[in-house]
Amino acid sequence: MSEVNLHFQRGASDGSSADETPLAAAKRITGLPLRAKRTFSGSLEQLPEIRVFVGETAHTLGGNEDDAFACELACDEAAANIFNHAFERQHGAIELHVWKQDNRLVMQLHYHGKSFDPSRIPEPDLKAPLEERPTGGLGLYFMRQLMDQVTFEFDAVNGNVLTMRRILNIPERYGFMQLSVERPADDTAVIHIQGSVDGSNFKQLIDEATTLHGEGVKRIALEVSACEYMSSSGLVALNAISKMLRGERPPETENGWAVLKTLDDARMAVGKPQLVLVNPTPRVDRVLDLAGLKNLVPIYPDVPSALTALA
Amino acid sequence: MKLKTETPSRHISILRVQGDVDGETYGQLLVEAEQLLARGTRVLLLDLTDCAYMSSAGLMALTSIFKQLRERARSEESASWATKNTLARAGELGTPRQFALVNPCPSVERVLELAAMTSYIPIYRAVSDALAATAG
Repeated sequence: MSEVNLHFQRGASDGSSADETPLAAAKRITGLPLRAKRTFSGSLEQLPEIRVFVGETAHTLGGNEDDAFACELACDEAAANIFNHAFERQHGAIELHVWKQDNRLVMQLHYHGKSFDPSRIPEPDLKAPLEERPTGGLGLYFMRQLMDQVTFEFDAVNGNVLTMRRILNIPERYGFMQLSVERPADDTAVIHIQGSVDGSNFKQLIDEATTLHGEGVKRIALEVSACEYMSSSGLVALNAISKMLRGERPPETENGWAVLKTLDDARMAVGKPQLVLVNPTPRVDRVLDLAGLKNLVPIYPDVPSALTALA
Repeated sequence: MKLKTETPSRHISILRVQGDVDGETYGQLLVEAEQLLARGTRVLLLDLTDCAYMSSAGLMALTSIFKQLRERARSEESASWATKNTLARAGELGTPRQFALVNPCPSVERVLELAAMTSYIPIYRAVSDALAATAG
């Protein structure tokens, strides 16, 4: 397979337009599979440049937003570990190669420095309460979570190689949420939520409820037994839906997550519930509890009891 | 990364983060927060509106701040009656200790989610929400 090797320097004087990276230009001109390479010398102050380089390259090689973010974060964690541990906070050089192999993005970090045994780095216990967890030690965990493969090769003579691979453009990787709707009565809907409700998809949930509301639905049971995670954005969605069902103006969502509303008035909701939750996992339950939202959105163990309460 | 501190009342501090919190910058954030705690801050709100990126190093700072607040609360609870009295007379008791985040962007929130931290450190969308919720 022929590849174009490119020493990736921003602002290269090859006559390309200001916005187009040299890598993008080369890809446009040659249509060949590409490999970007750049050496970062110094220490932790290199991290922002590394993130920009990786993010831009991941985009150019066809990754989506989520891929680019995952690659930036994983590479930042890898490089921070190398600067801190392999170079022992002295200056050093990391040669970073990024290329695409089939549907995978490959990032390879070449460097000389101290080795370690990755199998001896304990997996963090994220079920433990935060005050009982060690402070730190999440870098390698993040790399493994975000990448599909992470391998280390140590060689005191020829140098160490850290390789990370990630399959690009898997839609359901993060922010996967599936909604299915039942209509037990004209004015009542049950929405089954599968996956996670987070910043990437909470508006979809609001949209679904808005559509139902437009069709005459006044009461909604959110069945969340298969919802593994609900972020604070998910709580914003609950509040927006609750307001809409009570006939109040739902908060503006046009400007995105930044201006979405105060959860405070939600806590003061009174009267008969029009929005209930069915069977949340302990993890989701805890998020609701922490936000003080249990008064706003009562919880029932199953759909029949929820429907009785709503009727 | 730049930090700006606002102290709307004696026990409440708002620490605004501008820029990225990564392996290079997290120490600055931690030092600033520790100084605020040492000076009597009981409610610390970390405003992340202008923070576009946080790596696990940033989470290390957050975890450390969280633990230090808990530790201060514990030692205060177990203090002697006489000590508590002195503190109360000096107006140093009352507001429950609290650490909260304000308005993290989706990528920062995702990192918090990856580390399963969002059920321990509350997130508010606006400083005013956080102040209202912690006023108790």
